[in-house]
Amino acid sequence: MVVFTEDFVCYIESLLDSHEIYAPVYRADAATPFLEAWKGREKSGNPVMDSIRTLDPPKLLFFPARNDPLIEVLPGRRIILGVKNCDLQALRLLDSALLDNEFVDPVYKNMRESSLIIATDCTEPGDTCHCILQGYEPFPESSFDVSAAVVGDRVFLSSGSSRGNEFLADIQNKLIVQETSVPLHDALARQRKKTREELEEINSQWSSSGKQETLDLFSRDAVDSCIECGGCNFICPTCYCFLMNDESQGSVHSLVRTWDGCQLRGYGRVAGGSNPRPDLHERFNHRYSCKFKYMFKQFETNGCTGCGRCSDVCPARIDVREAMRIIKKQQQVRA
Amino acid sequence: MRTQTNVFKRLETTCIDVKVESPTIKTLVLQCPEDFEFRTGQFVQAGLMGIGEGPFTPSSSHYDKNPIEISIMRVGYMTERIHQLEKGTTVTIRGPYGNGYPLDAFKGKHVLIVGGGVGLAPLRSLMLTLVHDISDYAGITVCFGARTPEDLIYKDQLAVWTEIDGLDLHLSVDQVPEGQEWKGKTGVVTTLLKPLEIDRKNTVAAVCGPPIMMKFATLSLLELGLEPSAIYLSMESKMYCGVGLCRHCTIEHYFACKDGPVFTYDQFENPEAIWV
Repeated sequence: MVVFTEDFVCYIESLLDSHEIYAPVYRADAATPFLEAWKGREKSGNPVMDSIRTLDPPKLLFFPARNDPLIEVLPGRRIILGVKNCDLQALRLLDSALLDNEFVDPVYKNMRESSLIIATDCTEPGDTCHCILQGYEPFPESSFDVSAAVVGDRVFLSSGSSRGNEFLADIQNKLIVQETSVPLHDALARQRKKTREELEEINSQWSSSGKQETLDLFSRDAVDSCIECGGCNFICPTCYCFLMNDESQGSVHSLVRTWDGCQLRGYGRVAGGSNPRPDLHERFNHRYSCKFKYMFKQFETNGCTGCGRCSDVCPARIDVREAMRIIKKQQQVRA
Repeated sequence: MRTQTNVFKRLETTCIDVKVESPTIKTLVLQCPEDFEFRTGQFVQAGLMGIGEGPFTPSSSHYDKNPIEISIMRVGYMTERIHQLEKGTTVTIRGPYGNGYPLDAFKGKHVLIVGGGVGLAPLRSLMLTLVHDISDYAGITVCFGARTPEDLIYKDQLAVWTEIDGLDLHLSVDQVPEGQEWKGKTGVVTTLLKPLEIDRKNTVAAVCGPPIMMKFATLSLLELGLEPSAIYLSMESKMYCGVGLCRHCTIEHYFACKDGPVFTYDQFENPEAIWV
């Protein structure tokens, strides 16, 4: 289905009465859009329907950095607009980890079930973007309710779920649906090809990683520049490790769940001081083993979707692609 | 959509007795809700509201459904607070979690139980559970060790256990400090294993204790000729959720909480790296 983008945004705006809407918006001169509560065009500006994935991953909206998992929060109906494929694939992994489990995460479940995901194409990949190295395309492939690909002044809408079907049925009733045409389809295909070529150019020095099956230890030297801030953990769309603490105020007790990061020294440390990974290079190895090996065994998908955020936030500019190259080199040496 | 109670919700139990086992280990006797059941080797997340919780494996037989016993070593803030508690205090638990010991796979076999320090806790549960159906097994050999005589736990029950027909109990301490009395063997627990005459084809071993002890016990068992698949290790790791969500307890790609805590040695790809 094709509609005018202007009409589509108006339609989304009309849902503000009944939905919480989150969308990417530009703030001042920032090159990367922020994922924010969207209050309509007048207050928040135009939602970004193209461009690159948002600065923060959407996991923030499903897996808050700090919460009490014993308190049931039932959010109202939510629309998350402008989710790119790297983040869709990350949500697919989080669904496997937190929903398709013998034990279900109650907070994630409520947040996820209340949300309609509208995905958009990536058109301006950044220097650290490498979805194609992880086997993904820069446009929605799966795990969305609605895909909204903008071409010129129009948007291609397609459904990825029964909820998406209902959403599009309503649009069909309310908006003027445009004729689709071969030239319009060709324009979308050209646009997607162009983005893919850009990604190939950006990643020309990094060869495709494929699915990693074995990993060797990183040496101490290889991780020398890491300052152990944990930024790569917290910004990663698939990292979901958490810790839990009891807190008390008088006789009122609460359970507080907080994100944790495996790069931090205290991550595995237990009472008494024993630590399975006291050295940084061990934690580094654990992180990449988790991403490219453990998660693959657990969820049949790698833990990296190529969004590049970990490289962007790293004060030492450690590039995940460089880490993958080390892994590959080590494998070649061994072979 | 499947309905499920919140996985983080805790049950309230009442601590009806506290036994001092050693200077650092106490056993809590907990009156649980009536429908509470566990299988030997499974663990619970036990703790105090507002203080915290941690993974502990009940040390009583799974046939003794209520009350259950949990032996806890004082190592940090939460266990310190648990050691301070008095009879009548509410102790919270979640669970039981994990796989437990595969008793069906033990049937007809000789079961060799090897434990050190507080690692005796889950093994006492296993031992008492096996003793309940002792004719189902070819025999039970128990090798328990501790650092010093006063660190050895369940001392008040040893006399009873030595009387059990079909159960062969061996004890050892690493050292006997001045002022402590010890009439048994001295040396690390692996020294108890070497002289054992076992039918290696028909023996399974269950090991629990500090990582270093588990490592050398496992190597000794391999030397005795046990298959890696016959060596059952109770692996402990940092755990918050206990249900495979928080990822803290991963050992290789396994969750110690959900896929374990009982693993066989052959399950690990790089067994050298698991002793931490």
